[in-house]
Amino acid sequence: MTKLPQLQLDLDAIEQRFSDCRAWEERYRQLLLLAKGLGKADPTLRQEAHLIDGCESDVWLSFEQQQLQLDSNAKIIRGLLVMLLACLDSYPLSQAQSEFAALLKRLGLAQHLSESRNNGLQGIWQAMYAIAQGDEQTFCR
Amino acid sequence: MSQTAFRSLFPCFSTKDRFPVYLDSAASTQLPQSVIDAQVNYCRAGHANVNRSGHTLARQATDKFNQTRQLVAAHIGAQAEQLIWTSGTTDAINTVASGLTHLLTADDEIWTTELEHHANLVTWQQLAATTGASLRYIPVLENGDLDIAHFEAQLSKRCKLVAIAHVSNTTGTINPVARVARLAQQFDAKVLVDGAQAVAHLKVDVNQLDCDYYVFSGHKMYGPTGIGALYGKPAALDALQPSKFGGEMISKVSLSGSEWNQLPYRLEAGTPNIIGALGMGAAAQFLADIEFNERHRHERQLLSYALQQLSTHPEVELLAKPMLQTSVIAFRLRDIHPQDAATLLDQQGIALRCGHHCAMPLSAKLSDVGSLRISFGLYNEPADVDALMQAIDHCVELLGDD
Ligand SMILES: Cc1ncc(COP(=O)(O)O)c(C=O)c1O
Repeated sequence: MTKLPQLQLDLDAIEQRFSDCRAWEERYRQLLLLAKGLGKADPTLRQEAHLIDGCESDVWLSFEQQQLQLDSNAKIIRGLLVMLLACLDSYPLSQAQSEFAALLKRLGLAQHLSESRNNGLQGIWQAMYAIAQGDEQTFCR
Repeated sequence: MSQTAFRSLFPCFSTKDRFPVYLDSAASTQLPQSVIDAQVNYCRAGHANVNRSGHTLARQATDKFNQTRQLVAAHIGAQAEQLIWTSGTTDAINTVASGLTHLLTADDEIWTTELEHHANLVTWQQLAATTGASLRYIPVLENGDLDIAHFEAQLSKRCKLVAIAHVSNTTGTINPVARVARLAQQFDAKVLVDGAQAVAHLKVDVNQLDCDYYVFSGHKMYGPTGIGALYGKPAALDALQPSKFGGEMISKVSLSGSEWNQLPYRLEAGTPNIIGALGMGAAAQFLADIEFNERHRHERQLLSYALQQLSTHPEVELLAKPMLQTSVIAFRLRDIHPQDAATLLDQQGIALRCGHHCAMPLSAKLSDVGSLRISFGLYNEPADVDALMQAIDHCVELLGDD
């Protein structure tokens, strides 16, 4: 059983999609396409108890029966969640966060890492660290 | 003065790097050259602490500082001795709230409104919690106006304080604060008006409003951050117990106790933000130097142009249509999350605010996912609205194709 049921693309596939992007429009078109590739979450995910603090948009996260599920009502965040899942799939938890940051920088999306945007990415990592309690392999296959 | 003339007074718009289309003046305004100069020149010429040392440089600084108090007081039609320096609106509201704690009991009511900035809402929640008083809210109607009739019907002698924004930072609604003050004063309740969003746009006269307190920030009226003011009627300021201690707020200290200085010093503990105050004074002067009608006309034209453009755009939903509005518009794009829109607008060099605008209760009422907010300053021009509309089209095109 996979711990990341919503995972559909790996890191190579994601980088591939952005490799020809020049203008910001192309990058965001790809990101919005990625958003559509976020696997469906359980309908029960979107509830208050799963909401992450500190987001301008809503982000829901649950880890039940060893399965991580994530969702957001903002498309750009959903696209970023696809990248986040791919990082979790390839790296242990604490490394996944730095790889995720490096990926965003490489793809010209670094502005989403800024604290001031308050977009909840930091909150997602914190929630995952809280769940993992030091077990780096919690979300890996 | 022509539009471009206003803009040319603000150096940030002529920097070589591409400066954004700045539509976020409700969060903070840009600084004109004169305000920058006032602060820089003072620092360059040499600085001294005020109200303390007696040497010539200190006396000069003190004189300048006191003239500045007068300038800022005059901006709202007040006298210098009625004006307390604070670090901003939030600080001023907190000074009033802690200062009034001793007067409130569990039988009393504090009234505020559903459209307040958190600074003018949470502070009263806290005061209610510490004193046991009840906190009540003037409701917001569908169009973004306040339901004053509700307030009038519910108001009783239990009410001790009404705290209300002059202008909403989320919808731009201009509230009928003079009327609210008249109603409240029938029951001897004190009235605090949060003028943070009003002082750069309206002609404010505290005597005409007849409020007990009026609070505002320097950085929303073309001044620097970290400085603001609390105006109070003499009796209203007298009623405030100091909540910060030290410095020139004290007149006499012995080991068994201390006595407080007279107003306004009694409520100004520690060395004031002298440089900030000079900047805020220069901002008041900057506004005084432009004829009010000229500023007003410019801002009205911008607002109505923006409202017309936004309200006729098929993908734009205006979230409030107040009867009286100034310089702020709340809206969203159909079927598009405001955060997605804001990200793509930012990519196109449009600086606006997205989210709850520090007014969560109101925001939740207007839209379940937050909103977009544009707000104007003197430096904005119709071309900024055109740039926004173009960017919105592009945004809809990118986000809409599902
Ligand atoms: C209506 C209103 N009140 C209070 C504040 C708080 O002002 P400051 O952060 O300068 O203390 C703001 C700022 O956004 C505001 O718009």
